[in-house]
Amino acid sequence: MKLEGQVRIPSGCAISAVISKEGNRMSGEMITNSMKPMHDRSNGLGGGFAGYGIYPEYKDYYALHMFFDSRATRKDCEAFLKERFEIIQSEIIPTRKIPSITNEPIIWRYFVAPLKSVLTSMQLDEKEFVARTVMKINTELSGAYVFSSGKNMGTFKAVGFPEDVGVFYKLEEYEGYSWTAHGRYPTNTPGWWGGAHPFTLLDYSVVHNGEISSYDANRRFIEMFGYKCTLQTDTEVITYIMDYLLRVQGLTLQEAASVIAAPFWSTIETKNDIEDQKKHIYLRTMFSNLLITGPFSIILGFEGGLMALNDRLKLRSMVVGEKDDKIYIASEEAAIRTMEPNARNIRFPAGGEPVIIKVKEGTYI
Amino acid sequence: MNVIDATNLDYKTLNETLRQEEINYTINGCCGQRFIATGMSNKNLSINGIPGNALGAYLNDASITVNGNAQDAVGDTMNAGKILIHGSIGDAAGYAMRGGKIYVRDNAGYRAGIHMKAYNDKIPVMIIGGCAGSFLGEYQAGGIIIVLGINSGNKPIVGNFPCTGMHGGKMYLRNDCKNITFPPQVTTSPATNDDLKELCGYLSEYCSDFSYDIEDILSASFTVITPDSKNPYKQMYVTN
Repeated sequence: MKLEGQVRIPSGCAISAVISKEGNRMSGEMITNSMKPMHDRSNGLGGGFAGYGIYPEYKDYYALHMFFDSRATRKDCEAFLKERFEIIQSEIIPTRKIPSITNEPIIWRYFVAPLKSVLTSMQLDEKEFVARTVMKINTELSGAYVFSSGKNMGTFKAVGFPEDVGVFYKLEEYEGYSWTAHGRYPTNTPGWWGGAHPFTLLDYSVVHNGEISSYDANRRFIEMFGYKCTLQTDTEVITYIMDYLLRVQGLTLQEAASVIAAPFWSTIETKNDIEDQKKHIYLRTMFSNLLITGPFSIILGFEGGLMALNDRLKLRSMVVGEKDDKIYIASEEAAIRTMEPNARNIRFPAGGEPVIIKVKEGTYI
Repeated sequence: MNVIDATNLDYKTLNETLRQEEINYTINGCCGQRFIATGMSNKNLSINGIPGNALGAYLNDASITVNGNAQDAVGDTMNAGKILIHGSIGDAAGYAMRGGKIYVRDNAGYRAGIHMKAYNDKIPVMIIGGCAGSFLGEYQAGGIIIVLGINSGNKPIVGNFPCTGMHGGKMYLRNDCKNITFPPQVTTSPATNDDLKELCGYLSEYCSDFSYDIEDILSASFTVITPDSKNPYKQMYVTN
């Protein structure tokens, strides 16, 4: 596994997603194929997927997906995990040997439950405990990276083109009610396994096309709250910002979108709805350090839904379509047509206008 | 007429096929192939499916009809010819186009007509039948952009910040524009009879392409937007 400084490739990206509002489960094959027409948006230095509802048999346990550089690191990490969790299941993540994906690290997954005694002594709720443990492993255990840590969801990523990464991880064998995908074309940071998207924490996952110019300002602010940016990619900070705004601060998705893609002051000034205007002034003032500037189109995955959002200037493309119970989102319409040739109501959301889709309550596990 | 099945063809192979001697082509099963007909002259293409980004970039007097939507950067730096879209168009349509026509039946995304320019008899024309996104005509330096707002319902005819940095050319919006904020460096006025005469020339072709009645189109009021001097940004950063 090559790290920051060992590889440096100067270089867009592609994103894609599908969700069933009825909670119907789909195999990962469709989302993998959706990346094919967008092949040229990536350069083979990263591809990845997040699937929700894929582990119904382990739905009550946190699924930790991990990269290790060696067997010794894995053993050390397992010893560390056993001090904090009951490990329900521990297994290698099944992969296929294919010529287009090489130099893979050791890829493992654990289904775990936090030990009640540890939670009590640390006086933390479960999610906070898991989040802190992820940060601890990623910063302190050299050669070990947790790249997925939610319940009944999982991230699969690698260095390679996304359509190959889907084949590598045998995604056709998983079934989920929502999927997101990413093809990477790194511009400022290395193409390495940990740097591929999605970036996740708990059940939040982010795929991102763009380049955020506020990265360091955002990072400095968010690191005050215990988050540690370790993966050398701007997208990581977006994931932590979303976790902070949604889980810790309890904002709604709409409000969180108004923080990171806040309207211009001139646009806020002309709002006719005074309550709405006050709220936007409050959010921009309160969380000014979490405004994300520079081009981005992102898809946030979470338990039971997706949110797609563009930067307020809309410097990246985003298309949304639908058919029956499914909503499709992608950088290009061609990707949507690959998933559903007869998709209807094709639309282009405006900059800063979140598209929020939630699965009907009770229809997913 | 040559028929090309574009299923699983990459853009390079597709363009190589189009460069053969034949003039008329129909492309079926198009799905995201970029750069279709880049720089081509003397061709007549009909596309079924979704052409990829930069369709007709540097187009040099070819005619392209898309029977559906098109993606981003259609007609980038196009020089001459005509692109007809029977659907909507993505962002940055007609980026820096310097000649030819782009006619769109439905809506346009952000930044349509960004940096369009003109030179002598080279006057590019873009007509959008529905609504346009924000930053319409950003940095427009020449040419003509027309937005009709047909079937727009409650949707505004343009998004925010139209004509930002506009310093040449002309824009026509089929709307009284009372609720639209323009930058201080442009002038808006109701279309005069002379303007309507000019419009008629462009719109009659558009109406026949998309089967609209020109009388209906001209029955609503138009607003004309032009930069308010030859050098509206003289003092913006430094004197220039």
